[in-house]
Amino acid sequence: MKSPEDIENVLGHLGRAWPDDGSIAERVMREIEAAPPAAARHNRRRILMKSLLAIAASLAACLAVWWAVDGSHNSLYAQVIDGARKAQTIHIAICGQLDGKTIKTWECWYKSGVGFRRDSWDWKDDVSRRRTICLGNKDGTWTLDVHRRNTIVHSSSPGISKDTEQIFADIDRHARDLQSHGQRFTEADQTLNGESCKAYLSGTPGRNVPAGSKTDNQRQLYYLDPQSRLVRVTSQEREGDRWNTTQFNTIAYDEPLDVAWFQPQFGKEFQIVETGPEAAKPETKPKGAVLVYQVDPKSVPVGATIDMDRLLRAVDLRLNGGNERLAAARKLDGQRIEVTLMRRDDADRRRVERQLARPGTLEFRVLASRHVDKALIDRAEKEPAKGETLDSSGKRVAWWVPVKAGSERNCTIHQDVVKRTKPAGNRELTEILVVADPDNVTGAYLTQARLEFDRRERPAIGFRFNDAGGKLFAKLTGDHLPSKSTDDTYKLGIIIDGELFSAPSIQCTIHDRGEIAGQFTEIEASDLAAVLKAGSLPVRLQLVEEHPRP
Amino acid sequence: MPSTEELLRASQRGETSAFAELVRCYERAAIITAHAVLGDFHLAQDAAQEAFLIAHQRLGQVRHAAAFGPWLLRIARRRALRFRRRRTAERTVAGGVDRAAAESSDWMEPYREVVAQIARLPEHERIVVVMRYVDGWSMKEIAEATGRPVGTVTKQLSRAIERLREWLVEVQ
Repeated sequence: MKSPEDIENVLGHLGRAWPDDGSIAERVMREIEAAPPAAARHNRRRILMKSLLAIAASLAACLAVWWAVDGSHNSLYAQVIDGARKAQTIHIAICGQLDGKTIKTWECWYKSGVGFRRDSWDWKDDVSRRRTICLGNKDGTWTLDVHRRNTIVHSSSPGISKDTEQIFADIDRHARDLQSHGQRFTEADQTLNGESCKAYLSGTPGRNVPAGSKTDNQRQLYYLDPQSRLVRVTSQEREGDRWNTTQFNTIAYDEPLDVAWFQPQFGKEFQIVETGPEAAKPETKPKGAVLVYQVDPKSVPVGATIDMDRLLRAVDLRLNGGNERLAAARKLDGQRIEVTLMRRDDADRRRVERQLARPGTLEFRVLASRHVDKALIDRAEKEPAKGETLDSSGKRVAWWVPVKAGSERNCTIHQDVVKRTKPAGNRELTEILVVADPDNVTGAYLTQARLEFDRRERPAIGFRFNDAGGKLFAKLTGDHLPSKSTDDTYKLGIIIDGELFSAPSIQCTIHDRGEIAGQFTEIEASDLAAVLKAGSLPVRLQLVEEHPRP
Repeated sequence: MPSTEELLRASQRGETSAFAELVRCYERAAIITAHAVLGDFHLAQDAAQEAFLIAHQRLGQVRHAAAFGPWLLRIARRRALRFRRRRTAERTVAGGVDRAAAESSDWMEPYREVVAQIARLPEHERIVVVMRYVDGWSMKEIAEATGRPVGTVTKQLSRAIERLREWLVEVQ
């Protein structure tokens, strides 16, 4: 049973042999009509039982959580929260790593019943270098945004409580994680602020990662002082065998704090420029970027004129023919096209450049088979320096195609594939021998190419040919069906921009549609489909100018 | 042909004739699924019948019509597995006297291999294969019944046949 037709025949036989009295519909309906009330009662009883069980389970779970977190008065959680509540002042500083340097990103002071002050620095934001100060006392809360221009704004945040709640919520979050996952980690014990502190190890908070889990690459270290107060939280990430600290929070209690810190010194220190919720919004960054491309004169055939409208349509299809709109394109003059990115984003910019630089060619070639093309393979392998093999009339009959990086394993999984490797920069380039065929199935026949998902739900490119392409493809695949005597299969090489993306076995004749599977991400498959759909650009484009969107 | 969506909604409103139609649509797929486990047509019919009765009681659980067929086949398989456990227990109690004679006269015996492979297919592909070849429906009818576009059904069917072919070659 080797061809699809055989299976279809067997299944057809099965259908025809099915006994006339083989239907169970009448029996099922008799049963249903005979016993609907009982079934309904049974169902109701089951639903009731399930509901009761669900309620009981929820109660049990709540009790368990309460017991674990709050139930025991001596739990770590209770001790940490008690310590924080009793403190007259709390000072928290958060430090992180930026470009190998430790920098303070957030600092907060709290004095019970008096006020709070929180300073944060947006160090990663090169545009605004913004600093925000929050001040709160019994009269109100001020959010002071200090930009390069020292702009001060007054937010509409109500009262003192919101921010103090935040301080305690952070301590509470850490305490819960410590209670749920913390394990004593004596080897990290150390002296902090002159007091010997106990270390506890936990996984990532909120992800229920067990302490010290080897499957996770993040962990937290908690330090408790002799009064069981949380004094330091250290976040670490694994790099090989080492754990590197990415962030640490230090917490100090009962420090003397100047009350004046919690009063805004308007008119002296700061000047209110704008007030209200709108003013409290951060400065918006300039959006968008504009790239200007020019036709590469070397790529224009001598004496030819450039159809800029056709070029523009192809460019637009490449940029916006996928799953999302990437950029808007317009013609500037007879030589230049302006591309405006939808978002000012480096990744989008790289995608635009890649989309316009790709040749956009697609071809299907049958891979050389050791069983059929023996003589040809011998000749190709005897001439390792050459990339192609010619026949006596000088016609190309076989050539080596480089395999796309990352697809080597997929393309060479079959034993009879003819391959060779050669160094290329710092990696090894694998090449596979393909043979010439008279059909020349290329992307020129494509009518559709789009992102699809293969049978394992991985991103792939679905394509469809026009009638002429469908006929050629059917001929190419039909001429290379598996051998009936030996079961040997041919491999169909899918070559995009001169690189072999995948090489599936030809199992049956394929007509006008198919799927290109490969090691794609969703964005790659969508972008590549857009390029294939648009086809080759008639000329090459060069990036000549770039400026921010006005 | 009414779609599974229409039949399911009507069945959920209590129209028994609609459920009878659903049974007719999916019974062969359910019996084949059960047969792969039990190896006996009459037992498979019994298991499929129980599966439909359970499905009828729990129809309210099905929100999307597309999920009905696969859900039903999962019930049929579970019922068949329960039948098999029960039968094994009965055999043990009866000291090895079993229904081997009945099994050997099963008309589906020549198709045992292909039935076993069909049962390996994902449920949605199994349904399409049975409707197309065992029930003999056209692609249009299957598309109408399952509420999927003809193109999707065609693709599912060709994938399923491809898999069956590979698996049957492996078996041989």
